Amino acid sequence: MHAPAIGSRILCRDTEWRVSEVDYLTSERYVVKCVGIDDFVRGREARFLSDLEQIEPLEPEDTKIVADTSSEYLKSRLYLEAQLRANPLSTKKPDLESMGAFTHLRFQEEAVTAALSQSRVRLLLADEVGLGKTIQVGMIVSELIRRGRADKILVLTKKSMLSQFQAELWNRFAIPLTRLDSTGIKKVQQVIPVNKNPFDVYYRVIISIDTLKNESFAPKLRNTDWDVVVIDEAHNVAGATNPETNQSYQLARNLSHVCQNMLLTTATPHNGKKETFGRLLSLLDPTLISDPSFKEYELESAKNYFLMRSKVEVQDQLDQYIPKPTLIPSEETTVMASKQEEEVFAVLAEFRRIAKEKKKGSARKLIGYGLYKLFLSSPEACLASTRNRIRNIEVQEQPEDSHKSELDLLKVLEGRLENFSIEQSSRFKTLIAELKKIGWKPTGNGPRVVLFCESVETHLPLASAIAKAFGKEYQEPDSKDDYSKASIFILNGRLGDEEIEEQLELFGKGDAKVRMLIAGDVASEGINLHHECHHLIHYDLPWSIITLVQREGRIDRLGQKQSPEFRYLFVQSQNDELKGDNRVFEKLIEKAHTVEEQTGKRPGHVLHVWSPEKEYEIIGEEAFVQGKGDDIESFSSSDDGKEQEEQSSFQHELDKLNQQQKLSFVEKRKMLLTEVGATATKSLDRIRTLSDEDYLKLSFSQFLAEEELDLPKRQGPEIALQASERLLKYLGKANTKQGELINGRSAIAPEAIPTNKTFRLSNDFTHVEQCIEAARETEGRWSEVTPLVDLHPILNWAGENLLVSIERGEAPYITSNGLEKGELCYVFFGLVSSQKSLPVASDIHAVLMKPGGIGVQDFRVVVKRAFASHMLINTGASPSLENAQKNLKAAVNLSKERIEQLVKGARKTQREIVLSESRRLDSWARNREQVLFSRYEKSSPRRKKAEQLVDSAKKTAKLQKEHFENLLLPTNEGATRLVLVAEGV
Amino acid sequence: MADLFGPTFKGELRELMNKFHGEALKLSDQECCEKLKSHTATLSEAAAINPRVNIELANGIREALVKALGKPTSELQSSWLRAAVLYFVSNDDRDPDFESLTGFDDDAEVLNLCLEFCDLNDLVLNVEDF
Repeated sequence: MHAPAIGSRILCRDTEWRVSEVDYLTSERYVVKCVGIDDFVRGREARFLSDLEQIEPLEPEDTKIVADTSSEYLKSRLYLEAQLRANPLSTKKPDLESMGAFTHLRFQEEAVTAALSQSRVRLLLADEVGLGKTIQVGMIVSELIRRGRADKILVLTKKSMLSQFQAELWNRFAIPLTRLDSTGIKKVQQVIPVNKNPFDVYYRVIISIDTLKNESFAPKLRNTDWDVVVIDEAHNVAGATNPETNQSYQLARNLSHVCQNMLLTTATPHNGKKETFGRLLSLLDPTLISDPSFKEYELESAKNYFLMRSKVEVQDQLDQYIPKPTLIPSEETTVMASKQEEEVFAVLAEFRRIAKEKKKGSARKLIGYGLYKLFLSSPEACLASTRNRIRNIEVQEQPEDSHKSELDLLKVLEGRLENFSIEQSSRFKTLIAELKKIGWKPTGNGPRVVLFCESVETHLPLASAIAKAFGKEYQEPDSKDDYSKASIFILNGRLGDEEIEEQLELFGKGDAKVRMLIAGDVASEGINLHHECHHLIHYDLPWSIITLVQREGRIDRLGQKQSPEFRYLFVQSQNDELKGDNRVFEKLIEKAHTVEEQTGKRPGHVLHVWSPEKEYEIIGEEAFVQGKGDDIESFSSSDDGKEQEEQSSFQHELDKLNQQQKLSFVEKRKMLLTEVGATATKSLDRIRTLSDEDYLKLSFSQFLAEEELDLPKRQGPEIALQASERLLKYLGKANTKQGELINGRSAIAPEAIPTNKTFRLSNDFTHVEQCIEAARETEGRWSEVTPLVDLHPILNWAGENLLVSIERGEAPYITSNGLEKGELCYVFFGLVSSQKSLPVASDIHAVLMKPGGIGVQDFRVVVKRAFASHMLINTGASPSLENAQKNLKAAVNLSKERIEQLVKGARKTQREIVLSESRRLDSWARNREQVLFSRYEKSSPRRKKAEQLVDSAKKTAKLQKEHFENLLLPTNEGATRLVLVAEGV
Repeated sequence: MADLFGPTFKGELRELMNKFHGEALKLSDQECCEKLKSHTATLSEAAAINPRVNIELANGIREALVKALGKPTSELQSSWLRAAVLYFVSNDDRDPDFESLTGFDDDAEVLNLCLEFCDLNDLVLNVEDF
């Protein structure tokens, strides 16, 4: 028996379903995977076995044509509009204008173009800090949703970023993500059947990267068919010391195998070595690099997989959006060391002299510059480490002679630090003076300040001293309530995730009491601190250009409204050994601000290392212990010249490729902007008969009687919409105590549901952006107003209701004075899907029939001629209803012929894509074999392992080829549906 | 089994070609052409229902083989071409013909090596064209 076409409708168990997959068991028997269409099975997935069930295809020629009796044919118009909106786009051209509330920047649009030009999206967004990588993720995901390619979305991000990411995608794009932390997952598990996977309940999920480490969640994540996986700050996964044994890395790789589309973001895509970059790329596509150690590969082969833009490169686009930063001159923030400080410096200088004699190692590091750096943070931080060191030496039974002299000196240092508090330090006094200059106060509405301070030991004494200097007492917050009252926050790695999240949310909120964030470097990556703050003070200076840039990127980023002000505090010693040190520090700062401008390169280039820890060691060792002065660029990161040479050649290759990419994007963009359609897959720029606002209002007017609600009302730039219980349930609000099922398919975050149940939407995106800003002043991250965009869940709800407003197997009949008198217009929706139900081509067309001829036209042409609202007046007449039914068969035949052509065209286009991917996979497996067998000769003890790897590569290539074919190759049959019939009057 | 195809062919392809060669020696060029003809029908039927069949490449290989068989070659060269025909008409080769779009890529590889061996380089196919 012939199975129904994918995308067609069937009737089974007296319910209508859309076929999403067909698996033949034999030539006669098959399993049909379907998605429910009728009201009570809507969106539910089911499988039917042809042997056991009666599966009846709903053939378009059997459609019953029924006269629409509604006023102005509203029912039919809305039904048509809902069908148009539910139809997936298949063009590669993005529709950026109506996408959401964000500033349109060319380089961000290029990311969308790059993503859509791929057969499946695999993109590493490796732009510099502050260039809006989350926005780019939102833009790409929006386009994928519109194409029916992003039903199931998984976002993995750092714990501190969960809420920020989630709110950003909702506020700006109306993309809902449900946050599932471990407690959340447990809660879901309590209300779903034991064998059910919580990731099957919720369709769009955001979880912490740490969840990857949780063994019990790993199989659940792996066994879910994700359409899109986003890994934010992906270097945290790919950067594992030993990725092959690292659970997070392995799971991320598994996800990469099973998901259709993958996006990775990071501002630090590599540490200067080709293999770390390769590892990240391989996470994106495990079949990209043949060398399993990622050392030998051509970057050229990966050029379409990543985008790496710096602020300097896109400066012309940013000028009006990121105000230039102000660096407060160091003369204004430098003070001479006090007598008490010079006494401590004298001991530290002596240590530096001793260190020169020691072998390289931890002792040389600590006494040569470690204690010194701590003292530059605070006496308290230095004292804690001094005491530790004393204890460590004293517990040794027979300390070496060198340790004895060190011990004596440590005790002198301890003595000089014991009665020395942060309040007495010159650095602290300078800080207070600077805070006063800024106009900072612990209360009121004065400016907010981020005070970066690397040493965690300094945080508490510093907070207490600042509060005291301004006549207050610092109290460590203990609860959520305490946070809302506190004026100074301390944010460091000792805090729990919820506390970090609470602090960050309040710090970005205009009316919160907090005025200062004392932050360790846990806050220097990814997070937004710029919304309500433009003052950043480096209390202690990181000896790392990478960290300096990362720290400042927290407030120097897209969305900053004022010129960010950066301050660096210096204490000048007169000690001969130390007095030149400030020149080194100033050089670090200078390089942090000029390296990109002057060389177009990332911060790691100055010292040729890509880890802050390494930079710190180089500065400490070469500038201070070895006394090489302030020419920091001449410092050498490694004694291994070969390594440096490799790094430099890798960077050269990367720079060259980046340049080529930029040129190719200009070309691609030109091409796509003039693109009419994606070759044989017909152009499907969106066809609409109603604006989003009219669609929303008119569709809600249809549900009023049932819902007992007011009509959505326009209030200035907003539309206020009161949600019924039914809509709220659709949006995921369920009383699970009463055993209600969670509607995870369309759930939005609980924070996005207004307490008064009145949603506010706006198609004025500037207004939406203003509301996001305003929310930060009062509410926090979640804006009250969301953008009215086509993929908004409330519009989806309206659409789903409208799609079932016409009885199963029926199509409405209307009259139009835009058509010739007696002319019949049958509107068909054609769809060509792949074996995996991915829409590969769609076509909306009209079969036009009049005396003397029958023909097919693109619906885009007909819609203007016959479906404008003023042409559709219901006078109650239906002159040719019977005639329309009689001629249906002929119309369907013509539609089917058109769809056959569509299948042929789609097959040709898709076949080329699949062939090219399949050959790439074969070549990858062959190259891997070559690399491994040449590396491990037959006699090598590792040959067996190499053979296993080769076998596994062949299997992977085979599986991936199958995956590509199932995903992208169209099935032999397309499906066509009659949606509406109109007759000219 | 004598190894007639090394070192031109390697690994699994070499083993398979040696296997087909025994049968190839029993075939005439005419019989080979008939095998190709009847295989064409099988391919067309398969392609009509299976989108994974790279019918364009298969037709390209068939045409190249027919042309090659009509060219004057030595006895040994001719036996290679006949073995290539048997490789092509067999579905049980290195990469099954109908299971993936690249199912005929190995057949093209065999064809090209044989054509080069027979100095018929002008008939060599570039798979990227199909």
